[in-house]
Amino acid sequence: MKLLASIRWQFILWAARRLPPCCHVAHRLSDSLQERPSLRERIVLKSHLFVCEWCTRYAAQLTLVQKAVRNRETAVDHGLAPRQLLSDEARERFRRALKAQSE
Amino acid sequence: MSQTVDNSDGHTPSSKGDLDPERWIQEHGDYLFDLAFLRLHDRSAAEDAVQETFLGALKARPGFQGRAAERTWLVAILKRKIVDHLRRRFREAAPEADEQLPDDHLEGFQSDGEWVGHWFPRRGPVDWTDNPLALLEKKEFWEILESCLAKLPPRMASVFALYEIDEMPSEEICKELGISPTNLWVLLHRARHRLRACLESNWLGAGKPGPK
Repeated sequence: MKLLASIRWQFILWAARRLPPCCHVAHRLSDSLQERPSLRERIVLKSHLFVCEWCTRYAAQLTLVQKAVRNRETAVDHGLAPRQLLSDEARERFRRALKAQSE
Repeated sequence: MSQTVDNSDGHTPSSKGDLDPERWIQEHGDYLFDLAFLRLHDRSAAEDAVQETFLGALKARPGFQGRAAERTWLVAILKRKIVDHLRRRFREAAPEADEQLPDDHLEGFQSDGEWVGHWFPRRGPVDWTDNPLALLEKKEFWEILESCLAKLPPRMASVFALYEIDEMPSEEICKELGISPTNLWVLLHRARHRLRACLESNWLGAGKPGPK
């Protein structure tokens, strides 16, 4: 069992040295949320993700962050997310400005 | 509080009696402020944008087809004010320092040594949960996300909100804010990277070791 784990680890290190570093992959994973990468890029990304548990998690977490931010308004409506509130001073200022303009 | 219905096109001016600024502030004030704050990232700028929206609306004297239409109409005015404000901000303010940093200087990556550009051992992304969607049902998650959004640098936060929340096309963002597509993609990546790291360090990854 230890031998298998060691072989797996050596393979990961061997592959990691030949593939783009995690920071590059992280950037491309983020870009892929905007635009589908080319076939070549997809192969490189998949190869990296195959050996890198960290970047695999990173990819899933970026997607979750995007989903959360896009659903923030719904979460606010359901009382889950907090809403930023106007201060009393600002409300009063608005009242005065609107009154001045409507007169 | 009465509200007349103008069936012509929903945008033509009706009598001044339709307009009730006090009700606008009560019904839409917080909603509009929250919307502006998320995009402008500055309390005073967000308040100014909402005030200008109300004043602009009062001046335009619209006819309403109902309160839902009223809010949509106010939001449309506010979004234009926000883009105007951001256009000025992007032209006047210099790029934030970490926009210029190379990718391997971002939080979590090694910036030198044999494994430059790779995650630091034991500091790479940790396993958040087996059921990520269940996180979105938790109030605590949203509270932390909100505090993480507030920590983003202003330029990054604004571009991120326009792209992810308003789903404004990237060409339009670049044109309005005078930034290059590369710059836009860098800002979006940095915002996501920071948000993910912030969520992890403030809650989701607390106490969990990395995989390696």
